[in-house]
Amino acid sequence: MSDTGARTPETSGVMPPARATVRKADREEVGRSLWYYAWLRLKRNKSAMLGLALVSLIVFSAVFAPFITRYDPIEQLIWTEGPSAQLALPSAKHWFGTDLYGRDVFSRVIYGTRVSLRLAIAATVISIVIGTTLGALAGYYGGFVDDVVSWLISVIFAFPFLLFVITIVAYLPPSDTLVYTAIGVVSWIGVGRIVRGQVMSIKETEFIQAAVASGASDARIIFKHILPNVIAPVIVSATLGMGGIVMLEAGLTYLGFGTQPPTPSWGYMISRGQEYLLAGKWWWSIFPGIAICIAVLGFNLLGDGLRDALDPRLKQ
Amino acid sequence: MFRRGRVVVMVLLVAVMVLGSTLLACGEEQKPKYGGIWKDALGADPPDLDPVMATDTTSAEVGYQIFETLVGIDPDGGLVPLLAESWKGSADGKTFTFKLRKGVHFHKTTEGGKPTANGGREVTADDWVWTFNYICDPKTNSPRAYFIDMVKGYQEYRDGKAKSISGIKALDKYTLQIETTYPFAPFIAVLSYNTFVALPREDVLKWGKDWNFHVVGTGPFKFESWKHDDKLVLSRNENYWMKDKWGNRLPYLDGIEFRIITDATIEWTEYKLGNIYAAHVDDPYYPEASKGLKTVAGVKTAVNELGTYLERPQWGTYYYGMNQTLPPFKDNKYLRQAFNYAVNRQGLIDLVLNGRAMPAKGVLPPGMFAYSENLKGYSFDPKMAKELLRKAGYPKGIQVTLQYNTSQGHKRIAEALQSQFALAGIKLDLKNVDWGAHLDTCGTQGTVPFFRMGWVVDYPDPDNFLYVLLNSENAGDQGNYTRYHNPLFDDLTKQARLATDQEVRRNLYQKAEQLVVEDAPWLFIYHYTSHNMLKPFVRGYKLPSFGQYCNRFTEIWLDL
Repeated sequence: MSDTGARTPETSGVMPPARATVRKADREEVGRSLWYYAWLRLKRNKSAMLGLALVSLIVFSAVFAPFITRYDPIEQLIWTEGPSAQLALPSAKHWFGTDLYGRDVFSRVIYGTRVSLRLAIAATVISIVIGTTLGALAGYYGGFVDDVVSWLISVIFAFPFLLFVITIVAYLPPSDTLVYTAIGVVSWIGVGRIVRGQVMSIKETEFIQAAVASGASDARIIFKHILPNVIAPVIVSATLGMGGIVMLEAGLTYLGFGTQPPTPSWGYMISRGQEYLLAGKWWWSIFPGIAICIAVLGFNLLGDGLRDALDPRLKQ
Repeated sequence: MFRRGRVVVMVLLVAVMVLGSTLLACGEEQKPKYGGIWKDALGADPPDLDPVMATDTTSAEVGYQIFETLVGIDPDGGLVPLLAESWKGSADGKTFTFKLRKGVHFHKTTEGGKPTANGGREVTADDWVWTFNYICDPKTNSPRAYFIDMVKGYQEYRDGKAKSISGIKALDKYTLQIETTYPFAPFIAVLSYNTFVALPREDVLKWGKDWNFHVVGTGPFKFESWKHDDKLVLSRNENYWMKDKWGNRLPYLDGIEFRIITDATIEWTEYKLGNIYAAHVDDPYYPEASKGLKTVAGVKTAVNELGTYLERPQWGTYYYGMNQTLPPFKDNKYLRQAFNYAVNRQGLIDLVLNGRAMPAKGVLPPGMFAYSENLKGYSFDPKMAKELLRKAGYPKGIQVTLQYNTSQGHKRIAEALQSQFALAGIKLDLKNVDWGAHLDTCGTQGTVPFFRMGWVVDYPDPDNFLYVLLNSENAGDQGNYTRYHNPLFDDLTKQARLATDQEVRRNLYQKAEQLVVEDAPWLFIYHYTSHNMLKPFVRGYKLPSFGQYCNRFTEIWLDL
């Protein structure tokens, strides 16, 4: 579609109501931060708010898991309650039914949010720390440092992501920390590239030149002046990345490399429940599947909304 | 007009078909039909097609179609003549004379009609002498050669003091004589084991170390192709010696296609789609497969819309091995006993395995000679397990990793035991590897402290379990994976080999088994049952009591 550019005016033509609101707010409360305006824009975006709601649901489930659920997610009820607790249909007692061992599927799905969220957050933090540091260094200093970092990004980018993680995880004994690190170490390149590009362009602006002229140190310039201006795209990239990490964890666990039993993990539940799917026991794998959809959809919608809200082109 | 005509024709056709099938069903016995490819699944890529190296059931399942032994085993476990027409033992039980079958030929062609090096010549007593010498040659390095270490001259040959085994002689073209140093009761049965097959020396020598991928034998099917982890194809041996009772040349099938399907769900789907004619029924699908189960002549049989489901007890034991040379199990009997007390065997069998097993008190499966009802085994007692764990020096519990070969069934069991172990304070981590790597690391290398393993009978004698799996002479991939070493046990199982009186042997084996249960190098879990699910058009199939993997497809035909 070569006419994408031509459509831009049309797209912005849809926005006037949003602009009007912002303008009104602008008049009433002068001196609000950029974040406030971003929030206002986000609030107007229905799909972003849906995303926020879904993410809140996931976070809520993770934080309050023990209060929401009635059963221990790893307790195998068949040993005490017998065959009646085995692969029981969803009922008032077990909302999402039970699995082969009489474990409550609802409890496992709810506790599963902890596993997914913990991993998503840990891997994201690792990738932001590495990505921002290396990206900023490369963008700011350029030259040899930039060459090395760019080369590293290209190398990792060219790697088959899943295979790389599987290889690492297969050779070292499986543990959660290993999975976080493996995912974090390869997923920083997205953040790294964005930060590098942003830093390169900001470096050339007048206020940075002013800072240089007034004798500020490199560290001060990077941390005080440049990075705060890079935060917005990093947030967008990280939020969008979280959905991907939730999927990746589920995929790895499905293949038997990620979270190890008995820890309740969605990917693991799907892989085990799938064996019983053909035998008509759908609830063991369908519910965690829905949970993954909710989490990924939530992060993606929220990420898209944040991008729109934080996009400088839409700023007043 | 046309339409009505078609309806009439259809009705007539249906009537004829219904009538025809009723008549056929009423007939005494259907005449077998030739043709068709048997489509089947293997649960793993066979580690070895070379029968001399194969020690596992997947390899044997293929090997049984290509190779033949002197003595065969019928579906009920009895010994029957195969390449030997008959045999005679001497009065002292140390000399065996085999009358060989005439007209048995090695495969003339293989792999798409290429001529074999042997040219399809007849099998004679000389071939057997060569074969036994080849198997026992230390350079061949067969992990199962020692099964016949009682043959006279075996040790001298192994030590390089003799050029050949003195106890194996060709008396004439069709007479083979084997002498043993002591009267070993199960000797004839040992010869039915899938390593002791007639091998064509020309082909073995031609291929050298690639022989494993170009095997040639005498069996009803010839090797065609093997695409690793995908498909293994066999074709009909048009010169096969065996005939059916009407005098027709066997086998009926044109060939066999084994697809390597490691995932039980996919196997079941393929079976339901009709892409394979027989399937392993994994536990999730047991309820639908076993609809209408009843016992027919000692075999549990269910005939339903999915086909025919067959099930019978199998002589074998499923266990978790604890390596006796590695921590934490080394020199820690209490710890090993604690593990045995931590497991609810009956619960596992009833709730996770659909009742398709028998709880294992010890090593020997029920019904085997010397099996004892009075054996003192382990009950499910988490308190006792905790107490023993404390005595073992782990008052706060212990964390252990179990290695198992990738399979949904093994995983299912491991996860159930994981929760039972937790009650006793044992934290179990799980690690899965593929079958080949599992055998290497647990067997040959012996680097895995805690691992899943199973054993199914090779020859119907306790010797095959107690001596092979636990005598220290067989440490490593010869069978004693746990490297169990107890001089008293070694002595008892050795004595039982030498004894001729069955009561004395029984006594020795029972003592030995009690000893090993006390020492607990294994976590004894259950005794197997074997089963198979067949499409309704499969004829001539009998489920072997030694296990589904011993199927021979010689007399199977497809009523398509």
